[in-house]
Amino acid sequence: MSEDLIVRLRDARAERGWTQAELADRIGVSRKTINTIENGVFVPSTVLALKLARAFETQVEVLFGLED
Amino acid sequence: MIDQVQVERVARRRAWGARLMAGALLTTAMHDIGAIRGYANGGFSFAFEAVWMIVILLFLLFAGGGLVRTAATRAALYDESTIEHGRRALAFGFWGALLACGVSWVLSRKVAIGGPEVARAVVTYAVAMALLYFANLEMKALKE
Repeated sequence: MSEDLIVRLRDARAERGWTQAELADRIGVSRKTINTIENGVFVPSTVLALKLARAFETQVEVLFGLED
Repeated sequence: MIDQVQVERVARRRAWGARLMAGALLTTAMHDIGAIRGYANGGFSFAFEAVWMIVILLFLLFAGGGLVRTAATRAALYDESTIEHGRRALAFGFWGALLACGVSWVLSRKVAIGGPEVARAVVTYAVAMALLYFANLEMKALKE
C-alpha cells in the first residue's frame, strides 16, 4: 500500500447509501475487494479504479488522490 | 448478477481449506522427516499418493470456483484482491523456501539427510507457508 494514497471510496459510497456488496455487484468484484480498497490494504488497478469512478459517475481523482 | 453471499461463503471455505491443506502438508513433512519413518522408508504407497492427488485436484477445482455455476460469481471469486493475495502469498512462500533451504543446509552438516527428503521438506514448507499466508489475507479481507 502506497503511504501517499488517499482513498475516499467509503465516503462516496456512504453518500450514495450503497453497501459494500451493492457497490461490488455494480463493478463485478467481491465485497472483500471493496473492503480491502476502503481499508487501504489493496490498491486497485487502473481498470478497477476507472470502473469505480464510472459507477459513481465521477472522476478517478475524486475517489483516489495523492497526499501533498 | 453476482451472488455475493455465495462468493463470501466459498471464499471463507477456500481460506479454511488452504489452512487445512497447509496443516496436512506440514504434518506429512514432519511424518516424513520425523521419528515415524514407516511410510518414508516403505517405498511407494499408491493409495496415499492417489488420495493426495484427488484432494489437491478437488481443492484447486473448489478454490478456482469451478463448482460455481454463474460466470459472474465465478469471476468475483477470483477477482483482483484474490489475485493480489495469491501474489503476496507466493512471495511469502519464496522467503519460506529460502529459510527452509538455509535450515536444511545447516542440518545436513550435522545430520544425515537425503536429498529427496530435503527437497520435499523445502517445497512442502514453502507451499504450506504460502497457503497459510493466503488464507490469513483472505480471512482478514472478508472481515466487515
